[in-house]
Amino acid sequence: MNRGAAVTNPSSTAGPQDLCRQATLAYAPRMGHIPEDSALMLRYKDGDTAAFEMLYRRHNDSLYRYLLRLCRNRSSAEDVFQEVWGKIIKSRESYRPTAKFTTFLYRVAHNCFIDYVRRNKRHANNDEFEHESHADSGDSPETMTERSLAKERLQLALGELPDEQRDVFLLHEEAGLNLDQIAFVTDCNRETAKSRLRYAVKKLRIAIEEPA
Amino acid sequence: MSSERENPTFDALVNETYRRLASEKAPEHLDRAVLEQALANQSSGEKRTVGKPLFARWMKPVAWAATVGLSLAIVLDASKLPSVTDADRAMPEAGIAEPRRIKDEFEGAAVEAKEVIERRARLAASPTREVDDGPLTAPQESADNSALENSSLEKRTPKLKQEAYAAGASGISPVSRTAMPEQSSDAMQAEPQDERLEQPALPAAALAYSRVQEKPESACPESARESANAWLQCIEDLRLTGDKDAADREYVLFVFEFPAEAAALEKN
Repeated sequence: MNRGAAVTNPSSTAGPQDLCRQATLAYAPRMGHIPEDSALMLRYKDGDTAAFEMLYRRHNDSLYRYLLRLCRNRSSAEDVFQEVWGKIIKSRESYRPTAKFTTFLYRVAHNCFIDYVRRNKRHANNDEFEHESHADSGDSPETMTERSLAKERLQLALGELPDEQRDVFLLHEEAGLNLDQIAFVTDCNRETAKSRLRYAVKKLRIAIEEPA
Repeated sequence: MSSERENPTFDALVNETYRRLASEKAPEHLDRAVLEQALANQSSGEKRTVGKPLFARWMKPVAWAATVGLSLAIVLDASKLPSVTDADRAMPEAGIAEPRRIKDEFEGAAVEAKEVIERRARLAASPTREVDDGPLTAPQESADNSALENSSLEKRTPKLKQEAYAAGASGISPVSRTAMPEQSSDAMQAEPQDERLEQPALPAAALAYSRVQEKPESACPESARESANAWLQCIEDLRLTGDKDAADREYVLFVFEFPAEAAALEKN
């Protein structure tokens, strides 16, 4: 079969697999393949809004939690959240998939949070975060009580952590970044990131194990 | 990430507790706002890219074409300029050497001409001619004339003239004083005026030479040279005093100035 004919006449005998093979874009969606974040971003760059929605759905909750715990204020977290995605949207034209998209996203988020702290000095003493408890119905009352207490302690301990340590811990837990990526996002060296994470985990562990 | 989890910074209890704690989801209104923003930005970006290409597409090629065109124009223009060659660099020296050579040749020619004139004057001066020499015969005269015509001076004068003109000395007019005896008296009268007209453009060397030739030192005073008789008397006096060379020179000048009297003398 003539390849040119297949391109000019898609309704001919060419199947979906042939059409996919002819696709010029390396990041074109294929059947049974989950596109990477970078590919989705590139598709959005080319005008595919659905690709952006897919990308957003992948990261919106984790980013929201990261900012919520970092800002410790719901409305501030929402403002920063919108600001972060606004920057991602605007930067699509200049986006180059040189690094993992998650690293890029959280670096933008980290910088937006730094800007927020600079803009709003009251951030440190304004802890309006209300924890929403979601109890599992299958657990026993004792277990539920124990877990609830542990969560409350962790919540308190997280609030008491220095911003740098909390930031590193959240990047590790929410974004799933490794030490090198955390170092890149927070603009410090690997050992500093490792040290901050170790201190944060140690403090949180002590807080969780604290007797009631 | 699994390798990361093996490091000492990982704590299973903390991780599990945090997972149970972190169950918040992004609010719906935020999702809508962000997705609307993405859609709006995408359509505005499309509008921008629709209007942009007309200018953006042609900007680079036009700039490149203009740059290449200007470069070519400059190169072509530069190639039209007269280039400094070795011959041009040697020109100043040639320009200096040329008048010198011309002057030397003029001087050589003048000496030759003078010798011929003197010989002819000696022949013409019958009163002073020795008896043994005999009268001037027609074949001898014609032989002298032919000798004069065949002299290298005659050959060189037009050539020198051409060379002088070619060398850029537009005013160079080799003064053919040496040819004067061969010319008619009218021509001899007229020529000095023509020469004077041409002289202003002569090179310094040729000009100096012509000045020397124009005003030869005269043994006879200016008042004596005003009339033919007085001049002849002066010449006779010079011969009597023994200054034969000066008398001969004066006679040559006399022949130039008063050719008719000189011819009459020769007849007598």
